Amino acid sequence: MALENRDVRPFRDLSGVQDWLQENVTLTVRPQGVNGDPLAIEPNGTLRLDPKSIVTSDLRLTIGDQVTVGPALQSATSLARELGGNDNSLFSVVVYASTHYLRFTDELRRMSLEDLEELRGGLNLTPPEAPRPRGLRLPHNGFQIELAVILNTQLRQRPGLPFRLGTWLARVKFRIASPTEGLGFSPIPLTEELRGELKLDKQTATFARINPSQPDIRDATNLDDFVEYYVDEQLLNRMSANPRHPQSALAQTEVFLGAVNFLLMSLRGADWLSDLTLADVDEGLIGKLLRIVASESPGELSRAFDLLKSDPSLFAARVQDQCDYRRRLEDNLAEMDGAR
Amino acid sequence: MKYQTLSLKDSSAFANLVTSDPLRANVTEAASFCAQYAGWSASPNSDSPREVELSALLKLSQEINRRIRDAGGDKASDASREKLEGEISGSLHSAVKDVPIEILDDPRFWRHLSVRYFAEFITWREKDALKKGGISKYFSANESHESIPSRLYLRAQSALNADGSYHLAQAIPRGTDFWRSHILRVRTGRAAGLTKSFVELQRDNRLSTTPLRELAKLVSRMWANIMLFEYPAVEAKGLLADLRAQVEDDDER
Repeated sequence: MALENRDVRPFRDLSGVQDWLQENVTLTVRPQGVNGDPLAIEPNGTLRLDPKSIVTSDLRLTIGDQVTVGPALQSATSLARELGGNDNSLFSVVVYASTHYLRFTDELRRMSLEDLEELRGGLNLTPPEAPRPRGLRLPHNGFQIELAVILNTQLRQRPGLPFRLGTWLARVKFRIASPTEGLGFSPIPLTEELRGELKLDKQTATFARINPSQPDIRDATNLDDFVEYYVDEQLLNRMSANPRHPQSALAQTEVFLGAVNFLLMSLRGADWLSDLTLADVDEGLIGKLLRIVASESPGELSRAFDLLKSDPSLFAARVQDQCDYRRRLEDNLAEMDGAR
Repeated sequence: MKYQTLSLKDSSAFANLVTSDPLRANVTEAASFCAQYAGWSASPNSDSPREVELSALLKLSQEINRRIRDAGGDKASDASREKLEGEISGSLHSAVKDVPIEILDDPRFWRHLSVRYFAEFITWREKDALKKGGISKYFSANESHESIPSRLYLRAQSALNADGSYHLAQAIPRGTDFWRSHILRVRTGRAAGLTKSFVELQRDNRLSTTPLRELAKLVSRMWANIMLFEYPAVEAKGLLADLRAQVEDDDER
């Protein structure tokens, strides 16, 4: 992570703490009334839950019983000394809950690095004796929990060292999402009536156009916001009727890739694209597209964004890979061989 | 707790209805449409059969429609349309302040509010989109920062002062683009101190479009490395002053 960050973060961060967080911290989720082991989300992972479970599950940030915080603290102390501190008090660990839909971020907990020990028993984010925080009560759009180690004071600027208040030096994120959330792609059934309106011939199976109400991709949050992707009504019904059949799975993948390729094509020649930063697109449709091919780290996301800008064809090829396109083709051909 | 909802299909159908005949964007038509198409939903963590209380919203909607007429109705200037948007955002936030967050998180709830209480305001406020046949996104609530009334709510939420006042929500004349592009569409709107300082900066010493965009871009870039939620208003003011000086230096070169 620390290495990956260097291209976008021109200062030393807490790479030892970052590695420790990545290796040891999980978010455990126990839906109300469910016995047995809780569900566990690894750093930068997503768990999809039904709306009721999203707002009632017990949520804890946890490390294993045998994990010690010592190595993380020691690695932090060396940076703290470089920054002029005697100990790790320049750093705070903050747990935030965020929602994109309702646009707020609330602080759930603030503690010292040493307090990471509390995670051993499970740091309960939803203690039953307190009202559940509003950031963890979002059944339709879900939320993100982020644990970040930040610089808690403003320092004198020195080259290669963090100095601004709030600079994050290590962090992990966990997402709780509703099952309906995602890229937001729902092909529109191409009925005979629409075929007439859109002037499409009989053998046309799919058709894409920019959503007339959302001509600017920078404002789009979902694929549907930007692309209207029509699929022949009868074909779409057959795909929906047998979604797991290899032929249906292949057809669905091709429909999805068709929409993504249309989107990438529409970005070609956009003179504003080169000016955009990851932060500009992080929360919108382009951010979601990047996450198809990159994991949740600034380095990877940044590289994926550079690729999208510089070589959209290769980016499209990476999306194909993430959709297991070749395997789906092979499954389909194997089905055909079996039918002979 | 129970609340009324509208599907995306139905909010689009209403948008099409008012696009073909803008005079149908009125209280009677909206109430009749909702009576026919609105569904009911319940907050997933509450067994209460009580219905969510929206009487303040009904009053607000009547007041807004009166103010549309006071502003000149169809003949109102763009500036007066923007002004009214800023002025009512705090009242809307206040009118739904007791609605549980679980319900506010539901786009279907916002769609119902759009049609039932804000049909006339949306068609009046977004008259250009209405003419081009692209008004459905203002009813759909898919994108909370675009749709009315969710964007009014978010604007007031970001501008809300500790004393409960909303004066910053209407502090910038012709401020819709500022709020949409530089606060609500990006992460800045989630950082209370930063948002308030940014609004005050623009109110007191307005930047024109290009330098404002440059400043907003610098702020956006800072998010890559800095948790700007950590900045109380005073620190945020200092940060914005530094960035603004950087923009002005670049302009002079």
